[in-house]
Amino acid sequence: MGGMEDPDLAHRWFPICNRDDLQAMHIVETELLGREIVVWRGSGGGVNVWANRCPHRGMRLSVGAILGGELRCAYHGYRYAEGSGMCTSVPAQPGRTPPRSLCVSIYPVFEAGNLIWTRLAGEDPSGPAPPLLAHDCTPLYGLAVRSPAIDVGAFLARYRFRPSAALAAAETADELCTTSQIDAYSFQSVAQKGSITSEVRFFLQPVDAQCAFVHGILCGESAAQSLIPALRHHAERLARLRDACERNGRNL
Amino acid sequence: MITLYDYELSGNCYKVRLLLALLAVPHSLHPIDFYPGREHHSDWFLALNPRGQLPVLKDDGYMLHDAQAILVYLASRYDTAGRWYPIAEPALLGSITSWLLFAEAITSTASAARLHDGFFYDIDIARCRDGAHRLFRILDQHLWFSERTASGWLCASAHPTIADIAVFPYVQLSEEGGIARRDYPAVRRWLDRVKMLPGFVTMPGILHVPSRA
Repeated sequence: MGGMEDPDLAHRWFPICNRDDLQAMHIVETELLGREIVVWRGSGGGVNVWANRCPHRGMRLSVGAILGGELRCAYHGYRYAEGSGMCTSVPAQPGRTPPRSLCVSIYPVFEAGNLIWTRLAGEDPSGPAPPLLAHDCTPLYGLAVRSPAIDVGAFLARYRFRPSAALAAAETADELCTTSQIDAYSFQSVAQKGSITSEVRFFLQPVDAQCAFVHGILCGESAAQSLIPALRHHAERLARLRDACERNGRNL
Repeated sequence: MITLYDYELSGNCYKVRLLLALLAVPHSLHPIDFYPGREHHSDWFLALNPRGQLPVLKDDGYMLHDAQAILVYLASRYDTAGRWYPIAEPALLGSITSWLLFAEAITSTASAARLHDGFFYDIDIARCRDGAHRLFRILDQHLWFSERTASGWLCASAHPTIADIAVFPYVQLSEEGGIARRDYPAVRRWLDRVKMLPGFVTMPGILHVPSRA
């Protein structure tokens, strides 16, 4: 979709998936600001964020396959190397070196908070830096909201949740939760009960003009036994938030 | 010998072919001209299945219609290891049946949208697509948690079950009905897991995930 070519947004880092989403042989498919992208990890181990478009005939690369360190287009079998995005092989012309101009559009990759980040403007040392996030955080169940990112942000600013360690007991009046908006696309939410606290961060991925994906991370909690109830708690609260936001915008 | 009354482009026929392939059960196919011939409404076919629906299975003298019922029968009879439909595990059987009904809901939304777009059926397309998206949201969240608490299949077992086979086809074919899966990353991972099962077979519109060059 068009209408999202704000140059400032192209220079900003946005999360596009979880690290956990990059499973063997699996090509992650998403959109950022209306541009279709794929995210994949080849045998070299690095993360690739590419335009979802074969430079040969425009086929979606997400329909293709990961073969070792290469992505193979499903249409004519052209192969592109991880890292550079350069074409390595054209099956119809065996023995010939593909032209250097035959190259997938690639985007920079940054890993923070167990999320994969990119920016559409490419490498830009003078642009805004990606956020610094600790590694000891757990991705929440993320979901798409069929509303513009700015509207989703307005609802996220009212996010309320309960501390993970308090979930086993009924809610009491002394529980507090505050959410602060760091900027248009990021939020910090802290829940407290006595000396117990939990913190989550949310980052919005503006998918296109009509949809935003909410990426959440639970900060500094890794106790496995309390993790799943906390993840379910946030999934439930986020789904409620999504439904309210969409009802407000009369979408879906 | 098993005979499957089959239409190549039907997801409900395909799920039976898929399970037969995964179980390596020999069978023959009897092609039905569903479109444009409407052979499933012919007198001779209505004698096999009065509801005029595909697929129909014939195993020696035994006749059975309804895709989900056929999966139950085939897994119970031919999966000697009892992994696809574990008849000794009540909780699993309950979950499997629940997902078989979910597959029927997928058929009446995502598959109906595909009938509208590809086979020119007169159907409320907006309603079908909205309904499919609601179901896909439920599926996506369920599978995300299954990846963390179980093995990433629909039911909480180490091995996939017929629930996965029943739900898979019309989710994988949803784009033919104008239902994008962009917003369902956990669903997309699960679809790839199904496609990587040993013995997996394809149908028009469904590619496999190559495990080697």
